[in-house]
Order: sequence, then C-alpha cells, then structure tokens
Amino acid sequence: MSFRFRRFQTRLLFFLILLLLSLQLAIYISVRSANIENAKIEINNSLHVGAEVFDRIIYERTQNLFQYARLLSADYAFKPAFHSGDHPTILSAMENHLARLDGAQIMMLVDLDSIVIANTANASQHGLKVAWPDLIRQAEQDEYAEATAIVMIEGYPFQIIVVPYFSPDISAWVMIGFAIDQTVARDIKSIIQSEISFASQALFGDGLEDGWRITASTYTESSFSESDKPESNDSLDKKLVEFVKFHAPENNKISASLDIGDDQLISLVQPIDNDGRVYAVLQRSLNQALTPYLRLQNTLQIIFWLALFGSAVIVVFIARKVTQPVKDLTVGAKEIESGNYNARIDINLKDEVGDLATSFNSMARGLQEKERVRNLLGKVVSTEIAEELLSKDIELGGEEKQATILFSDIRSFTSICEGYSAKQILSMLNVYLTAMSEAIEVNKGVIDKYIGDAIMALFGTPVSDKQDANHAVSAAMLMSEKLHDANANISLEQVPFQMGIGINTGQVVAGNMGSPSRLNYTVIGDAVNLASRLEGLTKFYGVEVIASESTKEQASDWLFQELDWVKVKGKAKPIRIYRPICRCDKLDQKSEQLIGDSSHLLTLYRERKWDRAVETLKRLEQLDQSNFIQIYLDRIKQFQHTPPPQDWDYSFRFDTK
Amino acid sequence: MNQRYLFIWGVIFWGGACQSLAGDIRLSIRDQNNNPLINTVIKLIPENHKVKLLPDSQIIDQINKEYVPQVIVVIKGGAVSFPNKDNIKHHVYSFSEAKQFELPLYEGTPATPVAFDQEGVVVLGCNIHDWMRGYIYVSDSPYTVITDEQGKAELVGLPDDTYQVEIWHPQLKKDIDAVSYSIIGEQLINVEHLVEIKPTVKIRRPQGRRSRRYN
Repeated sequence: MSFRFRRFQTRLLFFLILLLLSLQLAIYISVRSANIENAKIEINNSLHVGAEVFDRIIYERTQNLFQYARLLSADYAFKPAFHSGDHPTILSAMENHLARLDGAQIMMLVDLDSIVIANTANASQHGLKVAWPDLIRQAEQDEYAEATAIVMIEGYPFQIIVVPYFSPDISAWVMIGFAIDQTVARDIKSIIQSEISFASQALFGDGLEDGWRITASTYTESSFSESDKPESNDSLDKKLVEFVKFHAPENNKISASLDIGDDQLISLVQPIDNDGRVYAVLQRSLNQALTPYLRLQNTLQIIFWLALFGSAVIVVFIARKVTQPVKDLTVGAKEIESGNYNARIDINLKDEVGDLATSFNSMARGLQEKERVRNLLGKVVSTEIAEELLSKDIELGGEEKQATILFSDIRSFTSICEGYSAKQILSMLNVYLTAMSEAIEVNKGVIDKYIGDAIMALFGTPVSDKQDANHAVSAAMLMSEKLHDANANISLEQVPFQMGIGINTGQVVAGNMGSPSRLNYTVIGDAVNLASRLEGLTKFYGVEVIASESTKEQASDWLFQELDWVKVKGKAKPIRIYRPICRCDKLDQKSEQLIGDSSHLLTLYRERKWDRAVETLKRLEQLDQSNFIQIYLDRIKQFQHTPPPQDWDYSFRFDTK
Repeated sequence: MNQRYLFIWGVIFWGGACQSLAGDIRLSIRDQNNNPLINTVIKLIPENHKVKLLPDSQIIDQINKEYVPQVIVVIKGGAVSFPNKDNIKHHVYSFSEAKQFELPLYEGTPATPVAFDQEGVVVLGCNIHDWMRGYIYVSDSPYTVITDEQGKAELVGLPDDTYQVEIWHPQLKKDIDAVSYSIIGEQLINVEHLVEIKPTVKIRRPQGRRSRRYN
C-alpha cells in the first residue's frame, strides 16, 4: 500500500469500513440481481397468466355473443320482420336486439349470397357484398355453421361472430361484433393488473393509411413516474408500435422488454387474430415490481449505516483500548530515552500488552538501578574509570601500558592541621581537593585516589590520546595556578597551602587490583614510585612541580628548566629532573633567560667551571625564587673545597623518600 | 351455374321385356359420398301432354318432437293436416313463399288441414323446438316421388312423352338443372343421380333429462 496510516485507530476503521462496504456491496448486488431476475420471472409468469386470462375473457365475450346470436337466430318474433324484406324494419329490429346486448357494438344480417341485408353500424351497406366473406366460408365448414374472427372495421379490431339465421332453415347469417377497444383493455387490466395495449395494422383497403398504430391502451399520463415518463403518450405509442413491428413477423407469443426512460417494461407480445394484424401487448413495469425491493433496499441501507456507525464506535473504543497502553508505553519509552528512569506505566491488563507493560517497568527499574550504580561509581571513581569498569566485565588483572602519573601533596599538612578541628580540616581539604580535581579532570586526567591530602592522578589510562604528558603538565600548572588563586583569597586566620607535584611518564601495569569482592582500578610500577619520589623532591628544590626526563621528552607543548641529575632512593640510575616553566607559545623573555641561563649554569657546573657557574647563578638570582640557586651555590662551595671525584656522574643522591 | 357441384350420371337401360303400355322410371339417388340419399324429391314434368292434378290430403305427424315423415309431396291444391302425437304442444309455422302459415301452440289434430295452393317448397318449423324441421314439396305434377332409405324411387305407367326431371333435396347444395327423358312405349329407364348435398347443420337440442342433469 502506497500510503500509511499514522494511527492504528484509522487503520482499523478503514479496514472495517472497507469490509462493511464490500459486504454491503456484495449483498446489494446479489439481492438486487436476484430481485430483478425474480421480478422479471414473476412478471413474465403473470404476463403469461394475463395472456391466458385475456384469451379467456375474449373467448367468454365471444361465447356470449354466440349465445345471444343463437337466441336471435331462433327468435320467432324476428322472423316476420325478416321475411317482410323491408330493410328499415329489419334494421330497426336488429338495432333493437343490439340494444338488448351489452358489450356488442355491431350487428349484421347477411344473406346466403353474402350480401348485406342490414348493418347496424352502417345502414348504407345494405345490398353490398359483405366485407368478410371468408368468415361465412369458415362458418359453412362448421358443424353448427358458426364461426368467429377478428376483423378490422375502419382500422379498429372487432371480434365478430357469425351464426346461421334459421327461418326455419338457414336463411341468412347473423353477425355480431364487439370492438377490442379501450373498454376491453380496461376490463382486462382490472383483472390481470397489467397494462395492455392493442396494436393493429391498418391496410390501404380499410380506407386508412397503411401501417401499425395503437388502437387502445391502458397507459395514461399517470402510468409512469416522473423519471420514467415518456415525452407524451404519442411517443409511447410510437415506441409500442416500433416494438410490435419488430416482433410482429414472428407471429407468435413473444416475451421481450421495452425500455422507457429508466424503466423497463417487461412485455408479452401476442397476436390475437389469425392474420397477424392485431396484437395485444401486455406489460408490467419492472420498477413498480421492484418497489417492495426498493423498500428493502432502504431498510438495508439504514441497517448498513447503523452497523457502520455502531462498528465505528466499537472500533474507536477497541482502538483506544488497544492504543492507549501503546501510547502509555511510548510516553514511558520517551521518558526513559530522555533519561528519566523513574518513568513507570500503569496498565492493568492481563493480556500480551499487560505482559509488555510489566516487562517495560522491569526494564525501567533495571535501567534506573544501573544509572544509580553508574552515578555512584562516577562519584567514587573518576568518570573514565567508571566507564572503563562498566564497559567490560570487571575482573582482576591488568595490562601493561604507558601512562603519566601525577602525584600532588600539601607540604607540611600535618603542621597546618594543628589548631583546627577535624571537621574544619576536612572542609578545607574538600575545597582544596575539589579545586585540584577540577584542574586534573579539565586536562583529561583521571583521579586514581586521594591519599589524605595527596592526590594520585593518571593520564593515558584507562584512555589515551597520546598527549598524556602534555595534559599532565598542564594539569599540574593549572593546579599550581589554582592554589595560588586560592591562597590569595584566604582569610587571615588561614595558613596558605603549599604543594608539590611530581610527574612521571613510563610503563605501568593498569587494571583492577585487590580481591574479587573488593577491587580498585589503579596503576602500579616503577614509574608510579618515581612520580611519588619526584613529588617528594619539590620541597628540596623549592619548586611546585617536578617532571621526569621521560615526561619532559613527551610534553612537547611545554618548556622546562632542567633542575638536576638525581639518584632517588632505590634507584641506581640517575635521572634528569625538570621544572615546567611555560607553554612553548607563551614564552617570554624572562622565562627564556631563565631556561637559557639554567642550562648554561648546569653546563659550567658539570665542566667544573665553578667561578663562572657562580657568576651565572648570580645572574639567575633575579629570575629564580626557588632553592635552585642556593643549592648550586652550596654545592659549588663544597666542590671548591672538595672537588668531585674523577668519575663524577653529576648526580645528586637522595636517600630519603 | 357451377357444374362442379352437379353430377348426374344418367344411365338409361332400354328394356323391351316390359309388357305394360307405358314406361317406368326407376331412380336411384346417391350423395357425393355415394350414400343412398333419402327424402330426395323427383318431379317429372311431361312436355307434351297435360296432366290432371288430383289434390289429395296428406298427414305430417308430430312424433317425439319431430315431423314424421320429414318430407312429403303434396299435389298443388292438396291439404296437409298436422296431428300432434306428442303430449306437449307444438307451434307449426312456415315463412316459405309457397305457403306462409302458422298453427300456434296446439294439441291433437287441428280442425282444418292446411291447404297448399302454390307450388314450391314449404319449410316447416316449430316455434318452440328449433330442430324440428319438415318439408312439404308442393308439386304441380302428379309424377312426383320421394326416395326411400335406399335412395330409390319409382314412377310406373308413364305415358309416352318427354319428361323434364327436377330433383330437390332439403340439403341440396345448388339447384340442379333440369334434364329430360323421353319415354316411348314399354320401357324401363333406370336413372341414377348423384346429388351433392350440404352437410347437416347441427341444431342444439336438449339431451335426455338424466344426462342433462349431470352434464
């Protein structure tokens, strides 16, 4: 289907209406065609019955004429008149008889030579040859010398009978006739309830224009409903004439139908004379026959609309019932999508939808649980570690990788704490740690743990962007800056904090350590120890940050002042230590001079050029407020007194942690 | 006249064996189906000698609602009486040109017989019984006979002469042209005629009471 329903309710409604419509259409078509077929059969049957009734009526009327004619032909009183030979007397006597006879319009007396003795319809025919000698021929063949036929008189059909006139032998022929006219048609219609028309063919001999015409018909202006009405009765006559002319050659009883407007006249065309010149057309309107069906159709239509309305209401109700939980579920799902894991749906159903709702609620509960855990984890461990922990199965063990470790510590924290309550200390510490943590996290560092006032932070694990050393140095410098800011804002009663930060980059083992039930994500290794040692050296050198040689190598964004070449406790190999000064792109003259002079100093110092080294140191005094100058002045003084050994490796050994 | 309807087979046998002074004519009349035709009236009119008419009295009974005999010949001037032998009345009438009369409903024998003074056929009817039919042939020749059931009739002792023969029958289809026969001396002439008759037109008459009741 090329279009889609946006609502389940619409779809259900659409299919229901489609179903009802097609059902109704099927019923309508089948009932209608059955009814029409039935009506046609019924009409046809009734027309055939009507035709028989028609035949019977004509027959009875004819028989009536015969009865009367027989009486007349034996009427003794008429005989003297007949034998008088006086035409006016005979005619008058016949007119008298005709008047006694209901339903006959013509009476004639014809002599044995077929010459008209008297004719009530046309007195002037006296002495002329009768128009239908064949009728008399026919009578002569009959055992009672009687005959009947339909003849045309002035273009109108008449049923004429002939009987012998006995006086006392056959002396003449009595003919009596009635017109098959409007009266007959009406009489027959009143019995057979069908419209009846007579079509007759006039011949030139009848003194009329040749051709067919309707001589009588029961159709009136009111025979047709407005829509079916022919333009006039004339045009109906024309149609009927054409209809009869079309069927006349078959000269047999023909069932056919004639279309008039929207109506169909089911017809029976029947010749009623022997020559095929007079036809009776019996007709019934199909529409009228279908009237009861039309009422049924109206009822069906009302039922259809009621059913449609009722079904629509039910469908909407069902659709609501079905879609409401779905809507609720959708709303719930959207809530959860937007992060509101408190969303629950309340559907009190026992069916599939109810199951779905229960599952949904369970799912939401699960998500809520998980989110709570995640939030908690994010607070207990850093976000990255939480992600790392949540992303995979938590298991003991770790992986070896390169990382940069930062250690920071507040110098002389124990002595600072004196005179403060534990609560105050914790409060101060939280402020400090919050600031420091921010500085670390801003620079993509991960807080591994707080150890009292100390912070251990990781860069490059669990996630690395290859700029770990740069980030670590940046973090350290920002921490330092923040501490200075904090110190500038503290009240008079408070002691300013001083801190040291050690940074080292190297191979570590990172992973979950501890017991299966209680574990930490952390790193271990020499590199960690060295970072801790470097932090310990800051107080000695009077600087805030010391980075190892490996960190300096990787922190390419930063410029460093080399501080010394040291052997820390537990390490035989001396390492160079550095103090980060500024970002490469923020280099000012003072820093440049500091870095340059320091480097120069160390070169002179290692070349044992003590005097020149001291000169350089003097120059550096303006630039460096740390212990750097004093340390080297002391060492030079000592070496001037006691020169260093031949295998001097320029290193300075620390035996304390 | 259309000869198609008229067949006259005249076969004349001349026989000298007859001892009488006059000739005899034996007639045999048959219809078109070769059946003997009863009640055929044959009238011989002598061309050369006058005959004296001797009027006679005849009787036509009415028995069982029929005229008996049905056909009679009456010499002109003769009279016929109509005794009613039934136990009901009859109304005898005639509108024929030869004699118009009526005997209104009567029983028994009317006092005066009806005289027939004009030659011709008088058809008798009964006003109350349509089927009753009687024929009186009023003849101006004494040589007038009626065929019997065998269709035969005989005229004996005819003087020598030439005779015109006229044949009539109640159902005669068409008038028959007169033919002539000459009789000389003692001879016997056998004449056979074929007369075409019209079929009998039935006239409804009541059935027996018993059968009518249950019809």
